Amino acid sequence: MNRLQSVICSLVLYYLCSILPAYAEISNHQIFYRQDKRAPLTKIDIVFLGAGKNQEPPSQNGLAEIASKLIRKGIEKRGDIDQLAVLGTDLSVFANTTSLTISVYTLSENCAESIAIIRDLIYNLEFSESDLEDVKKREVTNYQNNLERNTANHMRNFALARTKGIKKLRSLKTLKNLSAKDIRQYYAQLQKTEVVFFKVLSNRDSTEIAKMLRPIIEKREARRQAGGFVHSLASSEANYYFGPSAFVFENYSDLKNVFCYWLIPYGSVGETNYISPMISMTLGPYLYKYFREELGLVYDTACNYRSSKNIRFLEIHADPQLQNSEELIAKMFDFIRGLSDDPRFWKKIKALRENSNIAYAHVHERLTPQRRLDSEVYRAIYNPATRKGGSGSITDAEVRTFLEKFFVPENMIMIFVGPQDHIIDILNKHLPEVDIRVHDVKELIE
Amino acid sequence: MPHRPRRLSLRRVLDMKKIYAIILFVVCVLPTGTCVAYQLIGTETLSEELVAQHYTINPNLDAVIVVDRTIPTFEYQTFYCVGWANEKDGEQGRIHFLEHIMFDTGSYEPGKLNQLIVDNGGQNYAFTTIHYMYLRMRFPKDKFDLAVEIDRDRFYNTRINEEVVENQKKIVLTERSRNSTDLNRNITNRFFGLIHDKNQSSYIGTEAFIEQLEPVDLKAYYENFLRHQKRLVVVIGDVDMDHVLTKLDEAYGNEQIAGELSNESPSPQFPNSEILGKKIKDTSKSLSIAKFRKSWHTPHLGHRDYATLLILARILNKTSNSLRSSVIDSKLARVFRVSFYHYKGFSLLSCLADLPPDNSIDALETAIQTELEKIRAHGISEDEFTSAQNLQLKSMYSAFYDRSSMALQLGGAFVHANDPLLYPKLIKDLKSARRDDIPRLIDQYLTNDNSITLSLTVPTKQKPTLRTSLYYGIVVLVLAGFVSLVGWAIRRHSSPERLSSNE
Repeated sequence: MNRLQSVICSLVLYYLCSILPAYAEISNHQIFYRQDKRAPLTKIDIVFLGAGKNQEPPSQNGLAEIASKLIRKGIEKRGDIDQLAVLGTDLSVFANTTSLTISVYTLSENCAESIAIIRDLIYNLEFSESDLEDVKKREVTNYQNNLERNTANHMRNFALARTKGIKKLRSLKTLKNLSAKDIRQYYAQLQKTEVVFFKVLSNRDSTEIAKMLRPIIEKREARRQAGGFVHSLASSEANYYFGPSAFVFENYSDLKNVFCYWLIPYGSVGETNYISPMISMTLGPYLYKYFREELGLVYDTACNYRSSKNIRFLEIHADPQLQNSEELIAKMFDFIRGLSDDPRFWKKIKALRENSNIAYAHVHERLTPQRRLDSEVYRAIYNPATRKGGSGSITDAEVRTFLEKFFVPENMIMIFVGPQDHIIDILNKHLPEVDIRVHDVKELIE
Repeated sequence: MPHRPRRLSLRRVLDMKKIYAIILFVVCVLPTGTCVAYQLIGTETLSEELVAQHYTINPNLDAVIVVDRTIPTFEYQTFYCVGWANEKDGEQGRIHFLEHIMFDTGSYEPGKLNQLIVDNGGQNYAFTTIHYMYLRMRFPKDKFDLAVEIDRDRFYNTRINEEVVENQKKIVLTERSRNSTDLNRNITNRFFGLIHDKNQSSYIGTEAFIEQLEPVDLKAYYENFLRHQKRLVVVIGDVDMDHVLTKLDEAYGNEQIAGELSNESPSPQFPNSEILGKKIKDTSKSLSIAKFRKSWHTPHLGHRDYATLLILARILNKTSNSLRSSVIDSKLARVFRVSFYHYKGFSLLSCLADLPPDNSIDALETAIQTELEKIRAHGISEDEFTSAQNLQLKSMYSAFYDRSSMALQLGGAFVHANDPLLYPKLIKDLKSARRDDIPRLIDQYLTNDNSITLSLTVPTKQKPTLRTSLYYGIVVLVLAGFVSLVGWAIRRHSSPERLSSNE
């Protein structure tokens, strides 16, 4: 083979395996790859696009998650998990909103052997009624444990479900009704999924990885059929106001502090989003300075941008002691709604802009190979519009419009955890316009 | 004419050797001997790209540097080898309080330090544990000099005055009340209190103790105690090794503070050996679940058995065919896990469980004993051992992706065993661990007289007595009799005339 031929062959292999940066959409069997030589490890995600939670009808909430658990159980029953463990390989199966993922994380020296084991297993699984019942039982316990560990997450989701109409994270009611037939139907569709792609982080080079994945791709191509999951983006959530609402949760624990959260919904996952990170970056240190350093009202306070299901929101968090909670709650409400006219906030926005040449450490954290890979895949799935100049081109007028639209009482969801009567008294005294909804933590399990 | 090589006389050769020796001394020895105080102690290759170098900067300060250019930032972590276990019983909380002041204020006006860090694109974090106080900064790569300056100022010039102390009291008390209802934290504190023979076992201290802290007292503690402890600085990231060493040397090379702790490895003694073999049962009305912890005293990080114990812990903690799965499957506990961590001079292999209130702790103990006995008697299979060994290796390599976590591992090894490079050395030990050692380890370490068992349970309610219809009949009769007696007495008392007339 002469030099020209070898170059052409390399290009063909490169094209076939699509080791290209994603910029528009994902083609079937595309490989998203990043090299990281810091550890002799390889992580391969096999992603079935469109098989996630978004495709579930409300009556089947939890289907993708239960199916992922059953697939794992099926693999366990075949004894493959033990074989993989000997190689130092962890295998996990999980569902998120857009997809179902089979993830292989292993010592690089045993990667090829691990891939050979998982090549066939997705096509040869059996699910019995007893397996399903067993998984459901475990899921109920997991649900309970998860609720205890991530209570705040469930509270956020609960409040957003009640005000913005999104799906609950989990539901025992629908879980109970899922049948083996539903699972088999899901599994059949999963095998025929239109687009399956690979997400790889490894110290090994891309051609080696492409070679290892080739048999999986060939097997899928040989069995290609119509009728599988097809990816489509969930429709954007409508921006509507629901009035200021306060969710007060009781029976959590004998808290001596009041845990307070203010949620400000502002859009959907996948939409172009420059202003909220800018606000979050400004508000984080400002909240810390004002509420902790100057007023001494809290130990912890932060502003983060988050999402639950398809809703995006900014969240402000604070944890005052009981005796400081009245002052904190009243001040924070005024702080949020007065932000667009707060000269200190605009001074900090100005400083952020002036310091735009500063290379923030936490921004650089997004440049790790893993984070770059995640970001590439995200962009490929959602294809959000990019803006020339990025966040540096956001004007004060745009920030003000955002604040005037979203940082208003009608768009404020508050969550309080602590002594119920005490919190209700504060709300009645300082925020009479707020719709107070008292719930037991047990209600988080539906 | 053929050229004849010149023959050098012996004397001339000796003279030249002297000159070379002097030049060599001037070039190589003098600069290191007079200009810098740091010394390389050890080097460990972590992976294809990462190498850890351990230096002594001065007798009280060591540094570990790992150059990692993956992203243009660096971690700068400082470990003070002193934690709440070093504080007097009942007087815990000073170190944590000083950590707050050093973290929030340092040598600056209140509020200025955090602003400075944020304005330079950095992040700031701190905590206090049983054995160390920890301060972390993360900055873009061009801010290394600033990081050293902040660290140095925190060490030499922390501002401790009335205003700072009063403000921190509010924050620390908020933190305290926030943590006070955390059940897991409470049982952990109680457990380590027992191990260190202390009644007060929280890094924060009591409310009364925090309230009475005075600036003078804190300043004296900072100057005369905290600053005399051994420290380690870990720098990981996109840095230039020579520059890091130069800056650390400039900042600390001439440190004139005598150390209180020796350079020896911490004594491998258990802090309170009298507690071994004891079973402690506490009760609390506020519990909805019972908590259980059983820990065996195992050797320190540098011991030859440590790596194999890590593998054993992983075997016991598997999700199937293990101690953990047998406890969960038999519903003896709702949550159960096996953990293995090192501390100063020792380590603990522990079983931790959450039990429904009516479940038997004795049954759980029996299940643990049975499973251990099974492994002791029959050993474990080659596959099982290799799985645990490889999965443990994978887990340790994973820390190389996360600088912060890697720095914590290196720092932990320094504080607990005086050698930060024991952490990477552990990877080698893991690879050479032997399956045949597992039964011996169970025999040697996992015995009842080498363990501490702590359970926190809901107090047993008094069972109501069985109330039959006969019981209620008797009660009604007694009550009726009593009422008639009272009625008769009242009548007699209120109308004496009528009674007498009747007579």
